[in-house]
Parts: sequence; C-alpha cells; structure tokens
Amino acid sequence: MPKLTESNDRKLEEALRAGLSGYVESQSSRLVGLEQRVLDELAARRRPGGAVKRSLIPSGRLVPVAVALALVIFAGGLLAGLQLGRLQPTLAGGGGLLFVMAYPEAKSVAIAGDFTNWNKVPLQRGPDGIWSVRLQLPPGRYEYAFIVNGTRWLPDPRASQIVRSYGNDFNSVIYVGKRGETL
Amino acid sequence: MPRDPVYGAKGTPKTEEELSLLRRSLSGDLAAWGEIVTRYKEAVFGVALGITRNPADAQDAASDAFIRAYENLNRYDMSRKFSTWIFTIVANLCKNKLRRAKFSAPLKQVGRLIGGRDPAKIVYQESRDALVQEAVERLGDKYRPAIILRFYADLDYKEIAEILHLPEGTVKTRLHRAKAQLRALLTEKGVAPDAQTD
Repeated sequence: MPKLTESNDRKLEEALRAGLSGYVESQSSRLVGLEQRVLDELAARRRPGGAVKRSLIPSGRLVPVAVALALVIFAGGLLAGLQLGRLQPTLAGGGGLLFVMAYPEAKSVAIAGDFTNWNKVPLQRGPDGIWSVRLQLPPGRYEYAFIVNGTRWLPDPRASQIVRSYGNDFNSVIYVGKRGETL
Repeated sequence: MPRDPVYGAKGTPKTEEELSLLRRSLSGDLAAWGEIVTRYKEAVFGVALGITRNPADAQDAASDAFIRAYENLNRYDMSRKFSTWIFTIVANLCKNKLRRAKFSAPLKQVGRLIGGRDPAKIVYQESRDALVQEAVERLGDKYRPAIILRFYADLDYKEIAEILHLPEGTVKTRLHRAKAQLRALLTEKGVAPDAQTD
C-alpha cells in the first residue's frame, strides 16, 4: 500500500467532510416538520391508550401464531406463580425481568432490544415449548422484539404496548421503574 | 449551510441555554424538547443517513431517535455531551435495522441545482458530493459508521468508540482501513489526491 503523505491525507479528509456535508444538505428537505412529527408522537404517547395500537403479529404467514397465543394463555394459567405473560420482576430469589415466548415449534428464540444494543440474547427452552430469559434492566423505556429461528422478528404478544419501528416492523415496549418493576 | 457548532465541534460545552432546555424537557416541557430537536436534527439525520444509506430510513431513524431520547431522558447524564448520547441512540437504531436487513436499496441521489450560485461551482460540488456518497456507500457496514461519525459529525476517537461500543484502538483501525478504501475509490474519480510519498 502506498504511504500516505500528511498533506494528502488532510485533503482526503477535507473532501470527505465537504462531500458528506453536501450530501446531507441535499437531503435536508426531509427534515422539514420533523419537530412537529416528534412532538405529535410524544403527545400521543402521553394520552392513555395513545400509543400505536398493536398489531399482534405482523405476518399472516405465521401459522403458529394462534397456537403460540393459545399456549401463552394456557401457560399463563400453569405458570401463574411466575407471573408468566407479564413482564414483571420475578419473585424472590430470581431478580430481573422474565421475558417469555411460547413457541414449541421454534428451534431457537432470542430477544434483542435497546437493552442489549440489539444484540441477540438466547432464551432457554422450557417444558411445553415455553422459552424464557431473565434480564436485569435499569429504569427506562425499552423497545425489544423476539427473534424466532434466527430470522423471524416478532413483537412480544404480552407486552402492554407495541409501536411501529419502520415499515412493517413492530417492537414491543417495556417501561421499567426505579425498583426494577414494570410500569 | 454551515452546521451549528453546538453539535459539530469537538468538546463544545453545552450552553446554559441548552442545559435549561434539557432540564425543562426532563420535567415534561415538550416545547423545550422541540427546540432541542431543531438544534440537533440535521446532525442526527446526517449520521442516520450515513449509516443507513437511505434518506427515507434516515428520516424515520431521526424521528425515532428523538422520541426515544425524550422518553429516556432521565438516563442521560447532563454533565456529558448531548450529541454523543443522541448519536448513540440513532446509531443503535440504524444498526438494529441493518441487522434486520430490511433497509431498502440505497438511493442514488444527486443534489439539486439551486439558482443564484455559480453553476460551475455547483456542478463541481454536487459531483464531489455524489462521488463521496457513492464511495462511502461502498464501504462495508463495519466501516461506514466510523467514517460518518468522524468526518460528518466531527467526533474524536473516544466518542466514536463510546457510540459504537468498540475499543478505541478498533475505531482507529477501522478508520485507517476505511480511509485507505475511500482514497482508492476517490482517487479513481479525481476527488482525492493519489497517495504518494513525498
């Protein structure tokens, strides 16, 4: 590789700075009204029930959806002691929040969200195809989703709120309080 | 359009006014948050555009970043640079989308001609911008965010490392390799000087 001279390196950097700024500027019409869109969305989220209505599962191709939902309800009865289905802090000795997905057919289930920097964290398969993982989260609002079989992103059907991410993507939302409880 | 130095300059301290806006936002004042959005929106959009390579996705990512930032403002340490924090949020959003691999194909945009300026200069600048854009788009996802944060957002290695969750040494390596690739691409097009020994 040729050796870079200091002055040439500086010229390259100048070209990059100017070129990138110019490109962003050429697209700046997209920023018109951005403030209002942000504030409208925030105001909507403040209203009770104002968040984007959840669409439980985004794809009709997901045959196991009905089965999965039924299993969640069933498992909810079975595992009431663990407060399955509610993202509540688990009872004594556990610590953290229990994330659960009922998906018996899945070969793997992972979770990714703001709290994992959108890196996948695997869930452990339990009896009857109930997948779960316990995570410690500091207070805040987080978006997340489950990933089934490594590629299929699904919102958590038990989350209290689901918001649109981009296009047809949906994320689940969890609010964590100061004591680690869900809000 | 010169960029507002409040978000572009390294180590630029927040003004009292900006701190006041952030505190008011934290207490629920949406109008104050709107002012913060106005100040940072171009920078945030620019970072998103550089990473996603798609203006529509960058627009969505910028909006979403400000929404998330507001809702997590209680986690922001007011003693630190706001730009680093908001860039971290938007970079995470973009990386998430890249992981999902659902971004549409990058658009090839060439800047518009705007009346009242020297046509020759406009043509040169737009050509340069388009070539730089094309070259940056050809960088891999591993290298592009670092280049954008360094040469668009004017951040130092430490800040880039913080935003991308990488060791500082890795950031330096990525920037070095990315620049070598960019130099080769841009030299072909006559935008950057050829690498020669003195």
